[in-house]
Amino acid sequence: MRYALYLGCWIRTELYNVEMSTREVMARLGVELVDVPGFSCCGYPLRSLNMPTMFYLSARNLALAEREGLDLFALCNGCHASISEVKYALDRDPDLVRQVNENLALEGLEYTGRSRVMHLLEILSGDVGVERIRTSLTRGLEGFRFAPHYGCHALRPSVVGRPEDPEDPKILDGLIRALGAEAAYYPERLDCCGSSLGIYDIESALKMAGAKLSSIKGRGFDGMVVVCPFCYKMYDSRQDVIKRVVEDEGIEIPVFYYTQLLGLTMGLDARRLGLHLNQSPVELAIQRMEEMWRG
Amino acid sequence: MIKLPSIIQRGGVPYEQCNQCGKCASGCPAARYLELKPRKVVLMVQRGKIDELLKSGFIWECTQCHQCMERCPRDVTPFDIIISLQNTAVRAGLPFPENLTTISNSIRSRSLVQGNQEVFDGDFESYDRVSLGLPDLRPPENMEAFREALDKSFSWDLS
Amino acid sequence: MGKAASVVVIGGGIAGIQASLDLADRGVRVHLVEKTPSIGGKMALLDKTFPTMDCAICILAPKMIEVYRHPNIELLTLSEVTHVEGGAGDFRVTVAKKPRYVDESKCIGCGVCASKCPVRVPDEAQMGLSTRRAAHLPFPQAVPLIYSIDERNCLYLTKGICRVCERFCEAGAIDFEQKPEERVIDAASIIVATGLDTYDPSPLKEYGYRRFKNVVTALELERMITATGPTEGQLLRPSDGRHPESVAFIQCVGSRSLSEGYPYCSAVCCMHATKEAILVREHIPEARVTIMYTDMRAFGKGFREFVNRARDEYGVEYIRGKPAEIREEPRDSGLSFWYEDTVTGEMLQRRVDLLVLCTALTPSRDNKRLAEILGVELDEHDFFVQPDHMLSPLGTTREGIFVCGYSQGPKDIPDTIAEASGATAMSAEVIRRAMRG
Repeated sequence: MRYALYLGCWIRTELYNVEMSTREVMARLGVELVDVPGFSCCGYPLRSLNMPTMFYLSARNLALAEREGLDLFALCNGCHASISEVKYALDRDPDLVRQVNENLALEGLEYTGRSRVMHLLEILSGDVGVERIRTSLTRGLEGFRFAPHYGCHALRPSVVGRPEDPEDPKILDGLIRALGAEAAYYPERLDCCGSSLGIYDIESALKMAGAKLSSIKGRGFDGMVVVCPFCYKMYDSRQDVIKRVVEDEGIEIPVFYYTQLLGLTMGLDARRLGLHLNQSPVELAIQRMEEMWRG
Repeated sequence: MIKLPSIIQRGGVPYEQCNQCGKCASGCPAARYLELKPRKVVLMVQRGKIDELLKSGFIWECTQCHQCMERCPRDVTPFDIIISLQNTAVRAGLPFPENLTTISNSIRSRSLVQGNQEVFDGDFESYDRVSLGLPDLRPPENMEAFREALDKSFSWDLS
Repeated sequence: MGKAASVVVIGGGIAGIQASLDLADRGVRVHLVEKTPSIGGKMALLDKTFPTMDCAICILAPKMIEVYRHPNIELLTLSEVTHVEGGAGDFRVTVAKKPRYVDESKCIGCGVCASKCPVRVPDEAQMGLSTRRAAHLPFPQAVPLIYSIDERNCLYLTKGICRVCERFCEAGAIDFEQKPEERVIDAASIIVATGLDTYDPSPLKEYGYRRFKNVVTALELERMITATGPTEGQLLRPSDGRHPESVAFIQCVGSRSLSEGYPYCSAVCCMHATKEAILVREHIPEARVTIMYTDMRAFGKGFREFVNRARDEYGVEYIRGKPAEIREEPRDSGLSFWYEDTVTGEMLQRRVDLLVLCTALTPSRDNKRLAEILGVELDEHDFFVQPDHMLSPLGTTREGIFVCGYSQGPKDIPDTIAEASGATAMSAEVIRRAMRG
């Protein structure tokens, strides 16, 4: 299993802990990650400015992976969605491919559709599989209960193929359970983190995220698990601001990117997983875990 | 009927099929906190009130969650309509969020939405890619060609 | 009247029943073919009918009994048409009759066989909400009032064991030696009256059907509220068996849809939701009842007045809006949803104890097979096609074969009965011509 690791922008330039934890766990799960030079933004944030630009940027990254003979492995819901959407259109319209290739030729690239884009959830539940994950654990999270936050772009638009079922997602739940923890249904589970709105109206986005955190607070979860840097940044990096905006100081929700939690159960040190860089109260949860593991 | 581009519906968004049931607005997170209602946007398009839409603030309130297009029983994709209106407003020189320009300039100059950031832990120790042992990742080898291709995409018509 | 004065009616619901009675009263010999063990169709499963709030089975049963006793009607239950030859005025219709495994001349309908039968399967007549036995009567007012043994679930017929029913039947009516039969019937014309089926809204996962306990379909609600239903007329929440204090109906679930479901309007849901809303308010006067609609289609005689009554006398709330996502509160299995009130533009949240989905009503699932046998065309939704929909709305693409009721297109009971009489007249004309020449 060999993939071109596609980090997009935020993980690469800021959310280093997502990258760290992913590299650590994938190496131990037999997934080789190749760094292809030249990857750019997938274009998702430019959709509102000019949709064809997003189209071009997504196609471009596919073409780069194609040149290496690799599939893309995306760690971001947004990247995976925009690239999937663009691939969906290109694979159905040869005229569109021609138009895109005219532009790609400027950089000496070509799109023929040979490369796919894979999501973290697909790699872990498919290629690696829950069984292999289970056998790679050295310690479990029995007794812990996490709220899976899938993120809108892992669910929709389903017509282009998404890693999760848009109305009844289960894969992230299964991956959390593979770690020995409990993953439960909660009514707000499909709610949007509000990130995309944050680019234009940060206060409303914070309120949106806060509403979800407030609801989760009362449901007995030990933390929230995300699979997208946008969602991660909103709930983790901005949790302090959210608390103030929604006037709920009681919000204390540890937020983990899935590979961080997986890394912990594989026996890896918290610092190697970048957990010291999480801004939500993960230390409390990790302390409880370590107490439990010490026996 | 005006042609509103959609990546998924290449013939354009069939907005005339909307019967105003309101399912899109019911599921829209922006509608709960702000003014945007996908249903109303589609209605205004049906009635040709494009100018009013372009000048409205609410077309910028979309969270891009895709729920409206996922659940619409009439195959209308309000999200594509909203994006299309946003793109048109930009082209027409109407006001739009400044962050978009910042992001766009960053992508043009370094191919990413921002440069490498310095991050901090709970003890205010700072870190970056190097100190965290992460590999040095290279930008596009020919940035000039990249920029040219990027600029060209601004005059693409994908409808 | 002779060989020519004979008609085969396919389908024993209200349409087929009415057509059979109309023809038989005029001296025509009718062969009513019904695939289930009893006539009655979907109307027999309803509690009340709109807009009159008549008890459905109370007005239907007398007609069913009349069919059974009519000297001119031969009732063929557990039967299906398998082959048709000939043309208008001179059809030869092959009818296959499945064995009932109960001797119709001996069974007195006492029900001992059912009470002793060890097999329990979901009861179709209760929309699967409770169970029945392999030896069973489809519903208490079944016609004929004769038990039958479900050959797919009977232990003897599938595994060669048991036969308890036989031991306890004092009339000696159990007959496991019965075999399928086949007959060829001469008929001047054929009337199709195959009725409707319901759309299963499971694919519309956002509504939570089969995922959340307290989400039910309209027909399931009908059974939950009727006196002969699984809870004997007590409307109880599936999750905890208590009376719901709040009920919401969602209209157009799988209807008027260009994506999942069907594009057409099922014609009766606005009205049956209103009827059911009134029933809920009658059963539980403190309950808050809301109908979430897209358009209120109250076009028939007395319909608008009925809706007004529901709203003004019974306090039913009508909101023009459509929920996008139903959420379940794990603590009490309550259901909540956001909605836009499209008339006022307000965005609101609502929590209910019970949610009713008014799903699309479709033509019978067996229409495809039947249409091939009859040599007639169906449209893309399996309704029977009329070559001249305007001037001959009960015709099919084969002369001498007529259609009436839901299988022609979505409609309510009065229109169905009217069409049945219409099909009767058209059949009569075929008979008249055949007798003359």
